[in-house]
Amino acid sequence: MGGDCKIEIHASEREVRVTISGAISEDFDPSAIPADAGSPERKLTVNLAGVTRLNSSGVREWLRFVRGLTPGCFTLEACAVPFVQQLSMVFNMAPRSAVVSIYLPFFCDACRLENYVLVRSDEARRTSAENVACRKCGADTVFDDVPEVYFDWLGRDDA
Amino acid sequence: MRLDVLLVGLETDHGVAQRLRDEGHAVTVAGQEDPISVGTTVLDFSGLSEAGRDLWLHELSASDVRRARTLVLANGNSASAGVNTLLATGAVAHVASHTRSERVLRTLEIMNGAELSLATYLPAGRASSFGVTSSNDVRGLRDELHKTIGERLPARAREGLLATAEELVTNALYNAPVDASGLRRFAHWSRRREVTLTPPERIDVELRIGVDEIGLSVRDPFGSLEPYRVLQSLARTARLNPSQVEKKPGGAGLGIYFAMANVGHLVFQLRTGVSTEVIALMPITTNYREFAGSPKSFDVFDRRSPHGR
Repeated sequence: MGGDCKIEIHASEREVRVTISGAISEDFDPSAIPADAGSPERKLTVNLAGVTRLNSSGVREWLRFVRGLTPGCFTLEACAVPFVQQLSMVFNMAPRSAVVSIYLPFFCDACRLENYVLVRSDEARRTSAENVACRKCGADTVFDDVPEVYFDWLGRDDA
Repeated sequence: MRLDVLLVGLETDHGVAQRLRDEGHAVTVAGQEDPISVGTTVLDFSGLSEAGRDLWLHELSASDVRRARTLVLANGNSASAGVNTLLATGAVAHVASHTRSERVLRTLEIMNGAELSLATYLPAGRASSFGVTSSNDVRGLRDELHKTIGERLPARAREGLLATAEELVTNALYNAPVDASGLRRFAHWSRRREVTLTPPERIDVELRIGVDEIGLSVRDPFGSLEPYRVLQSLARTARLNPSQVEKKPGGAGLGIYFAMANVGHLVFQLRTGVSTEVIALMPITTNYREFAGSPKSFDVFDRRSPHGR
């Protein structure tokens, strides 16, 4: 019902890299990810650049997945905008310290293109206040959200 | 319809007061009125002392009648402490923005018995209707809505409205159906399990496209959603704590919260035992930040008896 979610896994002895793309819905099933990934013995990196949306059932499945990981032993990188929105809306969606990089949305008033810029989490607020050139027409774009909402999760302590 | 409205905590020359007078309604302005009389009230917490707010919140929590007849004004969007704080109390059934006098007036009229449908908000809007009888229909519905909305909304705002449709229809399919004894038929089912309604049961979905707003209505024929459940759900989910997400079998309990976050105005019309209708309104904006920064509002109309409650 919720849509397609694709999970690609690249595992080595010491590390597991996972790429999640598509919709995180009730069908989200991370059971193919090695059980010891995200533990002191085997670090886990999850790339979320391709996540297109999350529904309420998908958020619950995601929370179950994250609760099974050891804090400090996993990182989330290239978090797509729909995922970042959930970081602010949902309690303990992910530990703040695990989120290493996120996408920022920018809108070009000149050509109406939505641009997405990948930044490190600790530089996100600063970058959002800057003018970013539109990738299509080169005009200055503006951060396309309300900073207090989009970055709300950055102000929280890890639970 | 001539309304008799008590304004509490508002200045006499506030835009809402002015608009009500311009429309010929009777307006009484009070600074710190105790909640004694049970009339139609517009309440601005920012104009009250802390003791006054506590008094009103207590009264709104304790009295279904008072709650159904009181509209609370809030500042700003869902990010503002105002709206989320109000949702978290679970005591407020009507919230509107200071700046939306037209919406305030419409809400007061509906509280006092005026008809409510998607056409109430978008009378000249172009309408499209869809029927849903199975969870297998949801993806097709989403595609149809996407096609109909097209480029009228920025991509992220459109996705928010589509996500709202999916959450509301999922609630209508899994949570709303009850058997003859009133027990919920599918609420405890995993959302991975297919639900098919029994003919002639059907979820009616309507999309209306107006000049300034796009509206969505999802109506089920069960009428099993009680007003207190809506307010409890919003109160639980608006507080960011471990109880935000349901752990029991069935849904995650986040659907209404997500819908509230994704649209500009969310309206519940609850006819117990007859139907539940949820209306979502989305302002048409050029970009997402205009939507995200626009005022949020919501209403829960309990239509079991005349005059909006």
